[in-house]
Amino acid sequence: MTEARAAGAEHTANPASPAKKTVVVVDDEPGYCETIKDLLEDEGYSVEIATDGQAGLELLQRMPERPCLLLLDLIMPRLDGGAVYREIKADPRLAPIQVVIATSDPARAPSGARVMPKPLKIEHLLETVRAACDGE
Amino acid sequence: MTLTAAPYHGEQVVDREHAADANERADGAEPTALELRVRALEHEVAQRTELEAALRDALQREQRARAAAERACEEAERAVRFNELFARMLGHDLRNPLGAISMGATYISRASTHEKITRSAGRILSSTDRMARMVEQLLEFSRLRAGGETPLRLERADLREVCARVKEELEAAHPERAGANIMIEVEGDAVGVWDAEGLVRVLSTMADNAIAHGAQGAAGAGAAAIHIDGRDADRVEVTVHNAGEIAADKRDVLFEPIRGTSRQHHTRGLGLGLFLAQQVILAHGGTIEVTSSAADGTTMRISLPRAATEAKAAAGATVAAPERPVP
Repeated sequence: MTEARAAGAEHTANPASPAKKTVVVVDDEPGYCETIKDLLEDEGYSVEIATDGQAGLELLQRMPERPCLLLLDLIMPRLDGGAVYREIKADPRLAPIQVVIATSDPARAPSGARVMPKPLKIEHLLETVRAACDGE
Repeated sequence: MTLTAAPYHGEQVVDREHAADANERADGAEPTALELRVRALEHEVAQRTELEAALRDALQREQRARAAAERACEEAERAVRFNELFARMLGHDLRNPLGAISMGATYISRASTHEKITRSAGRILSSTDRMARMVEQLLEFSRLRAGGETPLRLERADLREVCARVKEELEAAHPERAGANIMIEVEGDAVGVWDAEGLVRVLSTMADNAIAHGAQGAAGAGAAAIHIDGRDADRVEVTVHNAGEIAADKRDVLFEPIRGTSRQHHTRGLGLGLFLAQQVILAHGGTIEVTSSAADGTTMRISLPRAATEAKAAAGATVAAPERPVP
């Protein structure tokens, strides 16, 4: 088990398919993460998961290539999504990552952030991922 | 105070503690006027002392009762605060797993070609969506009860798109209403600055009610007609109409939490939908009213300022969330 796994992150990148575009999902609800992973893998994307904000931030900092999209929950243990968002925007290496806040409480999203209201609609999610990762 | 003086019979008063003997002297002589006056004053003092003691007792009882009432009030307030906090926490903690269930059911529905499995996934989805709506309402209600405002996420919004979403979501959520019909008619400009998500909730509640109640007594599902009138530059009017009638005794309490619901006909929710819908409209600086009769059916009429920010600023209210882009 990697250090990231121990800290709440799961690496699912497939080294045999380096061309796959990667989406990172940071959400403390494992059911959400796993379903999104299954769904996006069906669509040809690679998905990495972290189940708290701190693990998510560490995962992003460790990734050799930037993900095409980060789906970020707001209320999470250790480090909430708002703090993760601010850390990302303050880090020149991470700042270009496209971030979408997936939350059931859009009014609490950081100012200027893109928001996708929960419960997520699969079609809406796929449209957002395709737009961010494939420019569709 | 009245005092009956007994005859004076001499200088010495034998026993002043007993009323019967108080005005009698040992020698049987009549008491002097001074003695009578003294006795009257003594009696008056004794009575005042008794009254003061009774008053002190009453005051102490009142203070004890007041303290008990204050303690009861504080305990009740603590209980209400705890309940509201509990409801909010419960709501937050329920939302995520519910969302995961809902998403999982959608995924199963997409991935499976087995009819019974997709039907079952559809039922799970329908139930979790309904439960999610109730949790959202409970959260919003407890937040308002705790003194919060209805947060608005103001952005450029098109009521055509809002209504299209309402129609799509209601049709997906209620496949059993195969015959239900939501008609949407637009006049003029339907674009303004509003909280689109909030208006989806408002119109969804109204259209859902219209279909559910419009069907009463009729075979199959009812119909809801949404009409958007955007011909005015400053305001947009939206009406939601159905053929059913709201009972006269329900109309006055229609927008009151829980009281506005009719358990006889509408048992699917908490009875908070119209109350919360009204709060969203009021937060926009708008108005909402209802007219209902057997002949004309029921019409919910919403009037919204074209740009909610300006309307709220004029009303001195605050908007909880700034305008932000949405993906």
